[in-house]
Amino acid sequence: MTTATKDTPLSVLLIPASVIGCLMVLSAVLMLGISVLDSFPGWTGLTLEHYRDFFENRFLLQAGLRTISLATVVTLICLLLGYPVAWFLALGRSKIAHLVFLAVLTPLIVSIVVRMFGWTILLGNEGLLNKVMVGLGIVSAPVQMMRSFWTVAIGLIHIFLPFMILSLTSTLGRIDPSLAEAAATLGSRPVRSFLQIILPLSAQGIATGSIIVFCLTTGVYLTPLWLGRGNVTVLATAIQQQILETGDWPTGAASAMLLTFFTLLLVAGYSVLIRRLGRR
Amino acid sequence: MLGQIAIAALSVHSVAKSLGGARVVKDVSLAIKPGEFISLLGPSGCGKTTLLRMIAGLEMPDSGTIALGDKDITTVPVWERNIGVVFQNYALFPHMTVAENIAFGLRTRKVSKTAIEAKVRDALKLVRLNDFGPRSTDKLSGGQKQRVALARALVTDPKLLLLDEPLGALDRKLREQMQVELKMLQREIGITTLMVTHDQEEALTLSDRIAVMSDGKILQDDSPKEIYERPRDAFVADFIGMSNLMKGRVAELDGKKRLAVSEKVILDLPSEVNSATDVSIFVRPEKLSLAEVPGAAGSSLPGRIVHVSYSGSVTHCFVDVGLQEPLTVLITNKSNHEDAGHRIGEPIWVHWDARNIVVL
Amino acid sequence: MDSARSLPSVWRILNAWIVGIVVVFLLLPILIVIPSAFNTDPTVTFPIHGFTFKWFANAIFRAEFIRSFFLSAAVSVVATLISLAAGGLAAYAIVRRSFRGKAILELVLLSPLIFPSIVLAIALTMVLGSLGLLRTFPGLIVAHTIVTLPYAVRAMVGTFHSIDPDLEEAAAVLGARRVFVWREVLVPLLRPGLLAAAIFSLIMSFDEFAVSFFVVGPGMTTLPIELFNYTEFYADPTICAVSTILIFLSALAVFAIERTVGLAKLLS
Repeated sequence: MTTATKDTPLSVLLIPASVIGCLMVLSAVLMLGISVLDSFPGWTGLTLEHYRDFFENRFLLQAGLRTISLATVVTLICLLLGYPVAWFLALGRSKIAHLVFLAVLTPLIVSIVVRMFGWTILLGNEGLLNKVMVGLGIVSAPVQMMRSFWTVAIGLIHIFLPFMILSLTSTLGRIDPSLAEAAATLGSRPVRSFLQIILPLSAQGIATGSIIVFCLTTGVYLTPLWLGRGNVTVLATAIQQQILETGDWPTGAASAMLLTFFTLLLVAGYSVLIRRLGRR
Repeated sequence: MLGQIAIAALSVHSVAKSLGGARVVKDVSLAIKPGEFISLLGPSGCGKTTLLRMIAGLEMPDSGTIALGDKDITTVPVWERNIGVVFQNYALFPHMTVAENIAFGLRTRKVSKTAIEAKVRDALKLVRLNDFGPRSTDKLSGGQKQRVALARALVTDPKLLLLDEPLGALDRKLREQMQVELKMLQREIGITTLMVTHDQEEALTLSDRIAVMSDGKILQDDSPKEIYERPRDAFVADFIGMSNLMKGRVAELDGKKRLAVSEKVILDLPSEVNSATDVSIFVRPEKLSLAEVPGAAGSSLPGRIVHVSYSGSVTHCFVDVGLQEPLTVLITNKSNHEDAGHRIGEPIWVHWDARNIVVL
Repeated sequence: MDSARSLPSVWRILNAWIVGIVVVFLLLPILIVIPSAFNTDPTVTFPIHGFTFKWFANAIFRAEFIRSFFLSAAVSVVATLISLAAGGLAAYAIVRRSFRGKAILELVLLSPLIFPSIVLAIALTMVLGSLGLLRTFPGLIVAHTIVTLPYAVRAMVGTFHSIDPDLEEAAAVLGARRVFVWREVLVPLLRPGLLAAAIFSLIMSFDEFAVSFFVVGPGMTTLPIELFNYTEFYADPTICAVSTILIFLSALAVFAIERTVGLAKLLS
């Protein structure tokens, strides 16, 4: 380092962000603290009982399992739909590819409230999809689609698909196109080249995209609330009820910490996986 | 050693290709004899890489045919052609080891595991990387990567080897060393080889024949010596080596053909010149010499040294003889103790032998 | 099209179909809102039965919407400015300096990306509550800054990585002092990254729901929550009208970005 870059004092650079950072840390520590108090407010001792409570509380446990299955479904579908689009975007330099790219980015800029409302119009009892299905005679009466697991999943896929596509596109775009060509000159058919060259080399993008989508899905609150309307309880909404409606702070905090630990574990596992992939 | 290489001839017949609306390759024909090493030489954007890609099967020609041996392969997909290709950036699979890279082409052909092992070992030996099999490709040096790419391309016993700027990414010293290795290897296994390059020195050293390309066409297709000594036009002359180009009018004087470059500058010409009036002539710098005294009339010109460029074994002197461009004269630095003594501003005579002048 | 990179035709057609379906899937729920806003029916249906502007009038003359819109706008602008300033300085330290606890700082600053938002929301409610900031403008600012800061830091770290450190040294060699280097060299070079971070941060903040949900109160409610509350009681196309206005504003933003820096370049 030269003297030139030492001029700005480190404290000037770090204090603003650190203040906000401390608030975050404080929040997390507070949550952890409450989760091990025997009761809150007005505690008398420490206990791990609330962590056991979570696993014995059918409501919370079910919400937890539903959250995981929701995140799994959303991640898998985002991956399956996102990969071909990312492939198209990474290879195409055409005008069409540019327009598709804009279409992928547009939802990011439109408010989630607007998008949730759009899904209500599409999937409601009086919605477009029901009208089309009744009109075509596929069903005789409108199907109740709102307030279901799958409606929430669709809403979430709509929110997170652009993240997945962006992550995959950047990885696929970085793969040297001559690798697939080299494989072809060595006698490899396109499908084989894809499975043996492109897919392994895009593993990192798949992992990054999946982890982002999975983690964000486990924490979502608005979409299950809006599209589920009380019928699809995920851990986020369950924790909110536990704390604000039941007033059971410690159990809610313990559930929240479990969710956090689970996410951290997942991210840690992912980093190990990435490092292993990187070593090859 | 590798297995039997089926040496095949390649013939490209009036092939044309447009990319993005631009005609990149215009009606090119080229024939390569079995076992021959031919270079496609030209500046970037001249269509040489596109031609190579069409031969490899990575691009489809708009018209024309490509035949390998007696088989028309114009529409055969890449993966069925069995043509070895060494890519410019080597295109080694980053997620595979050296051995896995080399084995890739064998695995696509469903070769047995033991046979693959043996062939990979032979291929590694061939490129002198015996113990490198289990290594990761990203820890290799440029020259080592180049050899792995070569081994990978050769291990499937291809009928033709295509090299796309194979030495372009290496530094000068290593490049010269690899040129020798590549040529010896090619001669040893006797495979028909086509190399794309923009490096004229590389083309001259390695090739049995050079096809000079410009603007989608092959301008001249000849042996390195012919290309260097008798270029067919100004582009070829200028692209390969250093050259002195002059324009002038042919006139008869004393029963001999002369070239009037300007009113004062009149040169002897080789006798076989046709009676065209306006011509360009060209002479290589090493075929000119410098002296303090004039030679016979018509074989020397007075001038003044404007720049001297010393580069070790040789020195280039730039002499203003009253033409648009100064003439370049190459002097071999044969002596350690005697200074050739050419200084800027010094008046000098440029001598030549009419037989070394090429009329374009 | 070269034959090695492209898949065989069956796969290519399948690929094109999936791309088409995804584009429709992504755009349809956004576009369908627009015609519904002009529907004469008092319920949200499609196709529409008549044409009216009354829902727009209803939206514009509803005091809560206006108030919450301007509150959201103010909160997102202030939170973004704080995030950019704090995040930019911290990103610079992370990229160019080595100091103790750097890894921890990085982890803390980026953690909300993996921290489930509900956990952050509840924890923050307690912290802000004990500071007496619940249901206040500063409280909302703090909450939103925590949400947007990680995005700002991430974007700025990327941008600082792309700036050659030699440039700063060159400026110093030419006699520039620190403040001068920031003003004349770093900030101009950072501009695309700053813009990207600003846009992301504005969107995140304007759209923020989970954390705000716990921090807001009567008279201090952001637009997404006001809209959500409205739908709890009414099901008329007023929300469509508000959404249409928001889409229009987003489209304006997209257009402006596309014309100035290019959306693709901005987000790549």
